[in-house]
Order: sequence, then structure tokens, then C-alpha cells
Amino acid sequence: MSSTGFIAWVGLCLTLVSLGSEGSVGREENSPLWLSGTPPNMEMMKQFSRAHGGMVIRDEERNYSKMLWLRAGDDLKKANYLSDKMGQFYLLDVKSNASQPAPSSADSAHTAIKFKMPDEGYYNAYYMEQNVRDGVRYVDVAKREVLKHNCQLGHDFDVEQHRPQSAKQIPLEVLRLRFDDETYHTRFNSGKNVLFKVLYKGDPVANAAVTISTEEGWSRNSKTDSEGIVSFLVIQDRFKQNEAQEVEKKQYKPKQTEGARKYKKEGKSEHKQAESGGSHGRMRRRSEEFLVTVQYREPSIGEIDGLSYEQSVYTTTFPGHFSPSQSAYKSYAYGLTFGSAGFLVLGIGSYMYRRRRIKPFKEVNLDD
Amino acid sequence: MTKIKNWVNHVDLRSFRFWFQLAAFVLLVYGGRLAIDLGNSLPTFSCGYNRENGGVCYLLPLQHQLAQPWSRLFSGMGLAVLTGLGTFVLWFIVINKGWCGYICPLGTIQDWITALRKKMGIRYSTYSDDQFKKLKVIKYVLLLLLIFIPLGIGGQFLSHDLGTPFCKICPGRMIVPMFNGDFSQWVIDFASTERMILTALGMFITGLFLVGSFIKKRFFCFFCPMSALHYIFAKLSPFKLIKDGGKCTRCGDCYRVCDMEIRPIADDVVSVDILKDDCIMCLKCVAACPEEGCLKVNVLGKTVFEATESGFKKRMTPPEE
Repeated sequence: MSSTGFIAWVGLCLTLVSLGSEGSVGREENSPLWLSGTPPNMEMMKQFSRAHGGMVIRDEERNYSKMLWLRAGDDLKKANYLSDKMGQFYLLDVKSNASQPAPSSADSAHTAIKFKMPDEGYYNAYYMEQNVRDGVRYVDVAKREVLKHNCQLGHDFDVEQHRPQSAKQIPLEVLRLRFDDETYHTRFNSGKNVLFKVLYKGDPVANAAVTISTEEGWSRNSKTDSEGIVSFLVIQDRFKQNEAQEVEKKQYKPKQTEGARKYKKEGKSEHKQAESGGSHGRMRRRSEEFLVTVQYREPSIGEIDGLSYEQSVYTTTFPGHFSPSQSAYKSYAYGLTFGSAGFLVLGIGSYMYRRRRIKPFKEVNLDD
Repeated sequence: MTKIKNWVNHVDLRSFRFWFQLAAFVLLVYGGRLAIDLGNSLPTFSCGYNRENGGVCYLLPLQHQLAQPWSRLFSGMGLAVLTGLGTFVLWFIVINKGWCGYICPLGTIQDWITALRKKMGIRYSTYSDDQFKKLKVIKYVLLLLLIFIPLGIGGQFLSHDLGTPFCKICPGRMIVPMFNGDFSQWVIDFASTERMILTALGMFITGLFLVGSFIKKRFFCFFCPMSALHYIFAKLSPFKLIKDGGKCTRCGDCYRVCDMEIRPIADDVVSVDILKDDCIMCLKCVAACPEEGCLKVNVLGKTVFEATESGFKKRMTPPEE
């Protein structure tokens, strides 16, 4: 083999290896850190099943465990899964008990946290790391709020019990404020106004720069008001079926189903089927990830690991999902049309039947 | 004791039932506003889609549970299904099918629509014997479908979008939340073909329900799978409708007042436990029976309400002006 051929062969191998690893494990400078609920590869994804609040691992006793991965980058589709272990995970359970879990050993190739969710309510997971570069201290916080709900336990949503929580260890917090009519089944539908509150060391931060960006690339900048609150109107987007939904669809509706047979018969590939909405998720279950990023700067003097700094930059992220507005796939007009049809069919039918039965006798005169 | 017994046997059943049904309706339709929660295994159409309900109809969690993957359903989850069923049976046996005649919000709405028809002076419709026999099968078919479709979903043979199939076509989903000003269910859901078909069918049936209840007493109860499920456990209840065939003159009063047109209530002089699958235990037959002790309601073998000649006369005498 010539040297050119050998280099090309090595290059090809490296390319294949990098493709096979489903995302590199490095972090670009200043790219935001965030916690993702989507497993990094298909093998890992197969261990999960659907539940309220995203995909979970269920053991034989039906206990839920949630796993979140550390990712970096504001392109939510391509953000790298990291393998850094420089920072610390924190967890606040539904009763506000704080803990500092070690990174999960369930996925040794990536930085992840795995925690049990025994109680119903919101769990808050955090990852925080800090470093000093060019005389500036960068404190990066990734937060994710995870809901556990079991319909069998009822639907009394106690707003006070499920209020947004903040952790003492986290300097810059983002809280997602609850809707007035929030239930366990509330979604962030297009057209809704979602409110976030930014706290710095427990106090609201006015004029903090907040950015919201979505999986499909839309983003918007805003600033918090005097109470540290910022609102975003959830946009209408394309809502393509995502990878997690495709796997979920495969788990719950395998190929032998009627829908799949139809697609097979029509010569459409499984990919096409997923593109056209698949069977399980379709429009109602489609969702898209968003990421809220807050940055706050403060002059501060100090030293970390022998590196001195004169300014601190705090960055906190808060991801979530939003879904299409129900009005995108539900119609009152057609509903009333079908209701009226039923009403008229039986109404007119009964009226005609009764009219026929009380029709007076008519003498027939034969002309002979 | 005799005085109480006399008072009960002479009760104005129509008035008693009206107020009892109204109280039950408020409890189940608005109970959530008063922080009342009777759980989610109620043997009556206290619709789970109504946010302010005071408890949930058992058919909703039953369909939901049966749609779990088989690996879960036939392991730990199976216990949850049995617990739900056990709770349902415990609720049910307290007053047997009286849940239909006295508590069901959808039944009460039908009775109110019937009252409206009466006020308007429009006559009601009846089924022929042949129609009656054919129509009464529908509720068993619906019961089987609401069990086997979710099982098919859990077994990965059917789409999840067919989940809670009966609730999707039940007019209660549209009608009951309406009393709390919630019309959000009056829609066709185009999210998938399955949902579209089921919700369209649900709206069509709601239209049929409104007209049907107007011209036919307890129109929907003939097709109600909850009634079929009740009948499976009816023998377990200590609350029984008893007939003494020896005292029956077959005058037919009981049949004429029966909203469900149950013929054997008049014709059958052999059976003692006269409860039939379509019966809603409204007890109008007992109130309309002129024969002393011919029809009665027994609880744990003790008679709590029975037909008496004097009671019949009192009820049939128009109130003095």
C-alpha cells in the first residue's frame, strides 16, 4: 500500500469512527452546557420507555429512574455529548432534599446523571462547573426540571407543592413559573406565554440577558424585568418527529401493524413513515426542544487553582419541550358538523317515522 | 319502626329521586370544586374529562391500565388492575344498579331531557320486542371492545391512538364537562386517523344522544357498557330487587312505567331476583305496583321498600289544588 493510500485509509477509518460515536465528546469554548433527556445512541435508547416528563428507565417493580446527559452547544440537534467530569451534579427532589450525586456509571462514555424518582412531582437536576480563562471566571450551570406523574395517583395538581425550586449551591438560577391553570398534563403549546424567573444568589435579577433557542434554529433575545421575569411566546414550528419518538414508535408499534403494512405495500420506507408522522406520535405527540440561556456578569476578584480573575461570567441553561397548539390539529367546526349530523339524522328520521305512522287513511278510488 | 317503614313505602318516589339525582349530580360534576375526590373506580359515568369531577368513572382507568405493555400488565401492573376492579366492585355492590338510576350524571341528564319533552307535550318512542332484543346486545359488544382494544394496544397490535376507545365515543365526554363550561371536547382530533375516526364518531353519537334522549327515555342506557359490566357483578350485591310472582296479577303497571321497557318485570312470575341487565334500579316499578309485597327491595335479606296498595293509591292520587 502506498503512503497516500495508507493516509486515505486511516482518514476513512477515523471518519467512520467519529460517525459511529454519535457525536464527539469535546466542548467548544463558550458553548452553553445543558442537560438532555435524549440518550446519545440507539442502544442506550432501547432501555428507555415513555412516561410523563420524558423517557425513563423502569425496573421490574415499576420504579422510575431518569437519566440526563451533559451536552454542549446551542445547536440542539447537533450538540455534543460530553465526557467531562470537571463539574459537580446536584439534585433537588420533590421534597426539596438536596444531594450531590456522582456521575452515572450506566454510561461510562458520557457525562450523565441517573436518579430515582420515587415521588410524584418535579425533580431538579443541575450540573455546575467553573474555570478561569484570561482573567475571567466562567461559571456554567446546566439545569433541567423533570416531572414524574402517575395518572393512577390522581390529578390534583397542588401549585404550592409543585412550585419551582432553586438550589442554594447554584448562583444563577432559572425558574420556570407555573401557569395559572397548570396540571400534570400541561404542555408548552404554540401560542402560550411561558414565564421564566432569573435569580442571582436567591434574588431576582433585572435586565439579565436571556436567549431562547429551538431545535429547528429559531432564537430570540430578551431581558428580564424589574422582578427578574422574562416571558416568551411559544412559536409554531415544523415539529418534525424526533429520534426519541421514532424509537418509541418502534418499541410500541412494530412492523406487523396495519399502518406499517400499508406503508410497506405502498413501497414507502420506514423513514418516510416517520417523516409523514409515523403511527404513535403523529401531530399530537410531536415536540421540539428549546433552550433558555441566561448570562450574568459581575466584577469579582478571586483565585481558583492559582489562576486569578477580576470578573465572573455566570451562564445557566434551562431546556424543555414545546408542542404544536391543539388548534393545529383539532377542529370545533368539524366537531359541530358531525354533532349536527347525528342530531339531524335521528331528529329528521324520527320525525319522518312518526309522520308516516300518523298519516291519515287515504281512500283510493279506482277508475273502472 | 313500622312508622318509618310506612313512610318509606308511601314515599313520593319521583320527588325523592329527583332530589337524590340532583345531589349526586352536583357531587360528581362539581365535587372537585369542593375538594371532593371519590377516587377513580366509580361504577358510574362521572367523566374523567370533566376537570371538576368528584370522582372518575372506572371505564377510563380500566382502558388506560389494559393498554399497558403485556410485560407490565401480566406482572406487577396486573395487581393495580385487580385493585381497581376490586374497588369498583366494592363501590358497585353498595346499591347495585341503583348507580344508574340514582347517581349516573349522564342518566340524570337524560331524565332531565325526558322531563323537558314531557313539558312540551311530545310523546315518547318505544322499541318493538325485536328491536329491543337486538339493541341490548350492543352494550356487551362495546364492553368487549373496550377491553380488547386496549389489550391489543398493550400487545402492540394496535395503535396507541386507539387508547381509551370507549371514552372517545362516549357522549359523556362531551356532555358532562359542558356543565362546567368546558366545551374543549367538542372537537374532531386530526392528530391521527384513529383519533379522527373516534372523535368524529363521538361527536356523531353526541348528536344522536341529544335527540335520542328527547324521544326515548334513557336512550343511551341500552348501549351502555358500564351497565353490562354492572350486570356481571350484580349477583354479589346485597341490594336486590325481588318479585313475588304469586302476588303478581300481571296488570303491567310496572312495565308501563319502566324507562328501559323491561318486559319480564311484568311477565316473569317465576324469578325471585328480578333484576335484569338493562335495569337501572330506579324502583319506579315498585312504586307503581298496586299489589301488597309483590315487588320489593331487599338489603341483606331485609325489605327496605316494597309495593303496597296504600302507597300505590297515595302516589296515584293527584295532589289537591
